[in-house]
Amino acid sequence: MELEDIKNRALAEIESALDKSELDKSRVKYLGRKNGEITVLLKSLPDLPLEERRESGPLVQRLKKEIEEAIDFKEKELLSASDQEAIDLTLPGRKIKVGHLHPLTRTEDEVRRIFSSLNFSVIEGPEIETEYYNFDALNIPENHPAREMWDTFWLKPTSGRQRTVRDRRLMTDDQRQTTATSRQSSVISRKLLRTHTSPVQVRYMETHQPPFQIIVPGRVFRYEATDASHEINFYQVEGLMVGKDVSLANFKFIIEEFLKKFFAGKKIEFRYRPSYFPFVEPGLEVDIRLTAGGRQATCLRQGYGKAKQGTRSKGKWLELMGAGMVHPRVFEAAHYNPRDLQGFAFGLGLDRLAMIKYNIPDIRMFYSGDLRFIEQF
Amino acid sequence: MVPGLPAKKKTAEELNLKSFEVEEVSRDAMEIKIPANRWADAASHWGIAKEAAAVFNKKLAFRAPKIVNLPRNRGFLNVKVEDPRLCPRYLALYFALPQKIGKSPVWMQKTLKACGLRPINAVVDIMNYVMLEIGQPLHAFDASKIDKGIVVRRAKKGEVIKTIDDLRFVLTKQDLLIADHKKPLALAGIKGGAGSEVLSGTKAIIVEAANFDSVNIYRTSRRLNLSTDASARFSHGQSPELVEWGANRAAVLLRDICAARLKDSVDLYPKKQARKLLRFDLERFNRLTGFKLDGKTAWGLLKKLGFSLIKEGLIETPALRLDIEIFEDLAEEAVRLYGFDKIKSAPPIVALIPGESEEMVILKEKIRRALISIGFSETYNSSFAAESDSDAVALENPISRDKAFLRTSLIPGLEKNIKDNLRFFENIKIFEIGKTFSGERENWRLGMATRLESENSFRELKGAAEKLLKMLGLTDYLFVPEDKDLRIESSHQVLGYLAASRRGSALEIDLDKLLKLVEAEVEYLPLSPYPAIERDISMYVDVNLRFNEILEAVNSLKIPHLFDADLIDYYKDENLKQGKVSLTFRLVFQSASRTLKDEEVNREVDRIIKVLSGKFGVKPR
Repeated sequence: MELEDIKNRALAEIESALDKSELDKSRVKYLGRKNGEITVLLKSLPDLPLEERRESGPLVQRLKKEIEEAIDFKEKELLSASDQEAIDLTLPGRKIKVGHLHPLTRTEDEVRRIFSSLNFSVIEGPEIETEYYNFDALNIPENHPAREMWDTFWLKPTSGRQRTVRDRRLMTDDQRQTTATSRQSSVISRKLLRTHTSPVQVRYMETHQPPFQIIVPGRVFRYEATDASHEINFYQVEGLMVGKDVSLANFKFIIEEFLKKFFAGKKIEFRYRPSYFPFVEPGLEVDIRLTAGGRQATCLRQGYGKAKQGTRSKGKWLELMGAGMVHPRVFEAAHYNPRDLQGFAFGLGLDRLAMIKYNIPDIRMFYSGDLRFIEQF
Repeated sequence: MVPGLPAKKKTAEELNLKSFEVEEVSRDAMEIKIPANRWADAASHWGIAKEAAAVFNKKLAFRAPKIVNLPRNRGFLNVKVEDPRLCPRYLALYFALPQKIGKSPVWMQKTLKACGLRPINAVVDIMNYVMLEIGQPLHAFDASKIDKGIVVRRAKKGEVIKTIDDLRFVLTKQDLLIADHKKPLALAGIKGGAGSEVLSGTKAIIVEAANFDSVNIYRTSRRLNLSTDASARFSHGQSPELVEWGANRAAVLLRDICAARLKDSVDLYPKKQARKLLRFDLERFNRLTGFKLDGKTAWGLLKKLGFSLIKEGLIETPALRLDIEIFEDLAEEAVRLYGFDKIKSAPPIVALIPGESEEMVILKEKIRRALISIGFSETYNSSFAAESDSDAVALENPISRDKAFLRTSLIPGLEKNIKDNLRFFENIKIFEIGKTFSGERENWRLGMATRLESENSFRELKGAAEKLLKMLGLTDYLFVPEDKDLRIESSHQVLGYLAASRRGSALEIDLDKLLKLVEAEVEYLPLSPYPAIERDISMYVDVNLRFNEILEAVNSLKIPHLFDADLIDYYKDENLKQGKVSLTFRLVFQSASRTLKDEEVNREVDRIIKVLSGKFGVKPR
């Protein structure tokens, strides 16, 4: 009982000590060498009968340790409290160094996240393509100006081996007959850098059966002069959804859901215009118009000079993507029966999406490696 | 041509939404982008008028004229087409010009100028004007300069033609010529030749309205790098039916403006363009678009665009609409005219099969997350490179000499990034994930580079690489010195290399290989409830002794309860003895079953020091 009482009093006194001198008083009171209450108790132990001594000895020792620890702890607390007065709270926080994802990665992540939530799978395809997948299988005729819509980088054949690669799908009936009769003739599918992500449509359909819905993000290449809105390598995201009765109305739903989520916080309007891409029919173009809603895009850091804020994206119609219903000849190229199936496809410019989202005036900044730019994201 | 259209701006807006992209509207012109499949019917004022009439539901007031009592085969003209496949139709008109050719009327000149053409004389202007208005390219020859008659034939190999603008072209057997019996008169479908052009004193002209094979014209025009209004139109493909419309319109204008008298005509058109009938299945149309249109509405839309309903569900396409080949083409016509905006968006109804991401997509995302968490920032570099190692893929048509190849490594790009950023940053830690190309094989790679001012870039990078591999769940990896680099290995496969230098280091890892090795799951190791005991031992060692040898020697002792041995300090000091470095190890002892005693730990530490001294002659400090 007595021990319990001492403990309660001692801990309460220590806890309520306001400064070091008060704490010292408690120390002397309980642990003082001469008359400290615990010291006295310990001194009296040898006078107790053996039984009692065995029982209370460890208890007193434990109490002594407990009080010592409490005093030490309080002492540190008081010390650090007095320290605090010396800290200048207006000092700036330390700059914490972390790594930064590239803005195109951030944009792609966001696109993938939204489409994944709409149950799309994420697929990739090769950057070196054959003429067959990039053009022929997509119903883009050879020897027609339509093919000039895609300025192409062609690869030099690396060895004789490639020259003899034959792709029977490419041959006309005439040519097939020639190959049957003479071993000489061969049709080569020339290699190129893909000009769009659309070849993955056919590649995917060759090995999968509908229904399915996929997106295909990836780097693409165009042979053209670079300027603020053109790069020779850039990124696209292809979309493809195929089923028994996937319709244009479904396309509208998916793409509007996506864009509303992607530009969350802004008011967004949609516009659809007829357009021509040989691998879709009907073909159309999707434009959007953004008006700042609750949240406005802000520059993350004040730079020199004014950022071209909103000159591009506010109140103007922005061309965003080409789209349409998959052309029956594309289904045929993938050995599907077009009579049983329909579906939509679209191609989004990822760089353009990022430029609109973050107010970036020049596409070349993405490929500059400039950390002053990248570390804003 | 279409009375009652709204103001220019409104017209442009509606055409934009229902027909073609209107790029620019100026005072007296509108620039409209005709898609590659619509040149046959729409690349003309008449074609646009037909669209506008349909879009605004107005009547087309323009009718291309028909000539009555057309003089035919009277002997003024002698025309021969050698290969009708290359020239499906050739219509020639012979006119006598009773008066000197003057200028064309002001209204015509205004139109030509607004469309970017230069007025020349009344005859030439009429040819150009009809091309703009109707879409049919025409050419006028001075009849007196033609020797015996016109032959449409392939060029002979090496044959030379001089065009009206005095350019010389050497031809092949693939090229098609308009010639007389002695000399070439024109590069068919592309440009007229010098010597037979119409001048102010010309007394009689032959007007050519013809149709040529699109592929043939396209090839010749590409090979000669010679593109004209006419060649562009023929390259896209024209209907032979248009020939007549153009010829008739030219005849009327020549009569009215030049008082020309039509004396004769020849029309070589052996294989008439077939009528095209297509099924239009309303149920299919509604399923494709998501509309619920009735037949009357849907067929009404097509009728406005000049399609005719033969019987229920059977549609005949207009002759000039070469782009309409299948049901889906018809569907596009109906849906665009009705308006894409009228489609009500509807969520698709599909089986709920979970979407998945390819493994490489997931791996790349994990790597990116891991690397930014340890302070690396991401860059994107060009896929093109200047230098070639022997396996580099070369481009057939590089855009510049420094971009003539595809990159075989990510490291040059990262090194350039470091160099460029040194002006602004003292410490740089960057990475890139991208494709590299070697012998037409492409490969996902991760490149990382460090450049630190005060610390050791190499150790930072090696540590980051280890951390990354661990975070990815790869446990058995090795760093093996190879020349000046470190080879990164796992399961006897080379994953990549780390090139070391104090100032800046870089590494590259093959992600296609890594993908096959990483096991995603990390297993939990129980935490010991007993305290760990740490001992630091510092020693001088020979500078040539590799850290790894010391570590292996320690590990080979199989010291009980040695939980971890780590290098915490390494320095080479000027004050130290030559050829020596100072190392400090931290040894961590811990048992899972009890609290270790100081004495037993000290005993093990002594054993380690003894072995190291004996083996390597190290001196404890």
